[in-house]
Amino acid sequence: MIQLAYSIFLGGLTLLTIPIILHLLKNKPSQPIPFASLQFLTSSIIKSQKKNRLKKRLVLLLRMLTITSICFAFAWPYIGKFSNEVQSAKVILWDGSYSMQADNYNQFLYKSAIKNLGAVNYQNPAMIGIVTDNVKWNGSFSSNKLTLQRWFETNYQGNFTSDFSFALAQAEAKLKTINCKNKKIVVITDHQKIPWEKVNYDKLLEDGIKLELVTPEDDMIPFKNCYIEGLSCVSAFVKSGQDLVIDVKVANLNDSNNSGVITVKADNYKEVSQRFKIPKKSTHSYQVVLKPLGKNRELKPLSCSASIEMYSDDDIGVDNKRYCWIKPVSMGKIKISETTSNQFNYIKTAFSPQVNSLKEEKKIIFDGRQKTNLEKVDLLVLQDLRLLHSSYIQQVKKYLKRGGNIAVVGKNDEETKKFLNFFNIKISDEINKTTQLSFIDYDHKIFSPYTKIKSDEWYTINFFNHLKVSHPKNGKILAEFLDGDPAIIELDYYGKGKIFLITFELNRETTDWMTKTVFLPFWREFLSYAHDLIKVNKVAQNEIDCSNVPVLVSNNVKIFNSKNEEQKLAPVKNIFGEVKNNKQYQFIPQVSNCYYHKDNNETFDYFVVNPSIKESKNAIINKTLVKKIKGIARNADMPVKNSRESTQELVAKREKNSDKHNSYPIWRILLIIALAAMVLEILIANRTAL
Amino acid sequence: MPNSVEQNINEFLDIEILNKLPSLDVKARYLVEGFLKGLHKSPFRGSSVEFKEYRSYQPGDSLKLIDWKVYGRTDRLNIRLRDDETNMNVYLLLDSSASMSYKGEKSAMSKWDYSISLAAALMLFLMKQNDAFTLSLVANHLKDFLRPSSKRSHFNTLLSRLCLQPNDQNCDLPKAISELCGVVRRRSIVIIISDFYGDLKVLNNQLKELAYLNCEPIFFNVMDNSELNFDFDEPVLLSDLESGSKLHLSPEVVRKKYLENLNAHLLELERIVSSVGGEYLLLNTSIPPLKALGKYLYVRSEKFK
Repeated sequence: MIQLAYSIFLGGLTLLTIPIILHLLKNKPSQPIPFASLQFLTSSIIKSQKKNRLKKRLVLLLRMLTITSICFAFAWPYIGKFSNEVQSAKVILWDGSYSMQADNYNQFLYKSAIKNLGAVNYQNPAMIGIVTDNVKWNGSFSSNKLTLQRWFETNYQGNFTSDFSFALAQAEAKLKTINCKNKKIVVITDHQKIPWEKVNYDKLLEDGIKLELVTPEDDMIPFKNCYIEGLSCVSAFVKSGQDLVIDVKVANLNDSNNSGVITVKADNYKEVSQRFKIPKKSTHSYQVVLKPLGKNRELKPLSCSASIEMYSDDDIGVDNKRYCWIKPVSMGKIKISETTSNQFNYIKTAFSPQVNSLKEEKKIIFDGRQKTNLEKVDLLVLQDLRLLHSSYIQQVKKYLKRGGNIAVVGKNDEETKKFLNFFNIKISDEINKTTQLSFIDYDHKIFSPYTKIKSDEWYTINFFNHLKVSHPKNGKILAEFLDGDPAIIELDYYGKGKIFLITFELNRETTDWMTKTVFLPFWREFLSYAHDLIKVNKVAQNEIDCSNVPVLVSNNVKIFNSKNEEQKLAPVKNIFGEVKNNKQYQFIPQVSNCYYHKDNNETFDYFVVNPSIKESKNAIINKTLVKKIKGIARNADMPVKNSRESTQELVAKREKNSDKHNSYPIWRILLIIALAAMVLEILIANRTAL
Repeated sequence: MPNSVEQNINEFLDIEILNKLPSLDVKARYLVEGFLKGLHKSPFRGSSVEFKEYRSYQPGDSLKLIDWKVYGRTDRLNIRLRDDETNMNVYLLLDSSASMSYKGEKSAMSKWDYSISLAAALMLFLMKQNDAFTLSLVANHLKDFLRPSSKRSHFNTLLSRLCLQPNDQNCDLPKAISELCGVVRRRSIVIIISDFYGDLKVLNNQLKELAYLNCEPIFFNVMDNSELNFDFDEPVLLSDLESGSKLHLSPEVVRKKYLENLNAHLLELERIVSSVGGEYLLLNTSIPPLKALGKYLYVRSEKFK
């Protein structure tokens, strides 16, 4: 059955009136012209007149056929299932590091990128990202190769160190936003200072995404360098006025020993320069201690930016700078249920030092009477279950099933017993006896930071009253009282969510923990741990959170979500908070949604943040394959190794599918007919006579 | 007439000027004077007895023509030739059918205006040579025939006949020639100015009769440029000036066939005229009719050889 893809073009058939009107107008003149004699005309005209009349009609038919064929060709008729969907999508990652400008291979890699962009069309769109410490994207998937090439030509040169592990994660997330069968990431790099073996492909590439690596030949690369391999913050929690310790990993790819200077700058901390020495072909870690700038600074548990510069003595000055975010404490999001009104809510105070901040209170407190969105909550603290609405318990259980974390502050009442009983935790008795802690699991992530700041305070905390509980075997005791009763228990809930039970109430009658300095860091570390758990769960489901990935747009573009609500755009700023370009704005999607651009009242280009889990199956590339990638011939497609089907099978299957979806090109036949009719019309028609 | 002479003559004549001249008499003078200026040397030999040349006696020549004095001195029989001893009788027949009134869009003169200018010029020319001449309009028959004369008054009378517009529907030229044969003197020149539409077979028969009378016919075929080239662009509705019939046609389609038919007709006409020893000249109304005067001179000179 023939169908039309763009039937609107059939409106062009109204043009058929033009040849008809021309035919009628040209057909018969009304005014007679006197002529000397028709002696020589009568004999010939009788014969040719009939022939001419036929010719006129034939020309009219040809003209009509031409117009009709063109209209139908534009309407795009097809037989069977029509497929104009995207066949394949490609993300090109260009290494924006300074070393890419080396004369030996710059042109080779540049041409490779241009060639890749030249292959773009409407069924095979592409996206390009310039990888530095961040990734600069061209916007979204585009099928306009000229635009892509132009954008690439103006943006490809960079002076920064490239970070491909982050870039690959982003590239994969971008590919997930597009629905097509063939997905590919093309990495174009000089392979300088990239610790490829340490890029975790196992988590990055999903089943079906191909990786193509374009690198120069080994003999093209003139140098090998030292580079900053990575950095991490040693201090898990930084108090006001406390030092910030950063662990900088430096690698030496040279065949000889090397030395140099590492300079670290961070917001609100004094700049530190430190010399280092590193043996040939090795990696070393150096701890850099940053002193805070002010003495009486308030505690700021927020992230800050830092830059690390490395000047090696025997090196060329390239790729030696790296920017990063230092996160001493990852806050996460917490919800705390209300406690009895006559008691001070100590946990709330731990997260909201400014008591007068009502907004902060509202944000973290809930009472369960109204439905609360627990989707984004990292830790849910249930203090007094009597105050919670009964229907809320079901909501909490669902939250737990989805992988949420619940901390229950123990209380000897029926509601708490009933709730805990559901998880096979039974409160047997209440012990009114002063005791202290005898054991703390310092290997646990919540308590491990305390080993570095040497805190004995934990063992000086008095507990005047606590509960005696029995818990399932999979429960893990994090802290224990002197009498052997558990103080804090961690319990897995079907392998997803976690329940933490604190076997004492948090008020002045039961403990003096709140007066100790370890109280506040504990809750923040606790939240940080819960936040990391949520994150791990998400990664396990391969739901890479790209909600914070900025989308770069020009200033005349408006972005709307699926409810037609305009989204806020912010100017693009560099690491120092300076506006880079007045014309360029960024949009940071906070919520999973479908967004679209609007430019001059014309809607175009959709993009989706956080696609469904179905598209995000885990792919595993083992490290032997990664090594192979390093040595492969350029532009070779690398299939996913653990895929159930072999590459050949996959290719055969895709070709078969593509045949099935491709429409028969009737439009071409129609255009040929139109062309033939036009040529015939020119041959037959006499411009003056017909 | 050589081309260079024709070009020379054309320098003195312009069809536009000819068309704008006030009267037929002036038009005739304009043509004749222009023609003579172009020739530089007058072709008139007049009626005076004037020696021209000797030639040897041929059997059949009149004995009166032998120059005996030369015979006495040289023992050779020579004949003494003299110029224009006798006036020529010239009969002009002018087609007055409706088709002669045709004037193409781009033409300056209609075929009729052109023809009467030519006829007037010829008559003036003949009068200057003391040739006896007469002119008759041809419709269904020979109209108002007068005997030839070389007088000025005769010229004026004939000129006044030409001031009328042609309104006759048809032209029966063969019949007119037939009528002329009854009154024409032997060894005369018959000049027919027409577009010669019609059946050529009948005309051929009548011409033979004329040839029998030892008359030499000169055919001036006057045609408009549009007739010769059929230069219409758009589809047209043509109406026949003589019959009044109308015809829708696309010029591009019929042009080829039309021109084929026309050329065949003209060739046939020329052949017919040549077959009876006559002269044929196709005249385009966009070019001054000087060739016609030249043609007459040529025929006249041949006649006296």
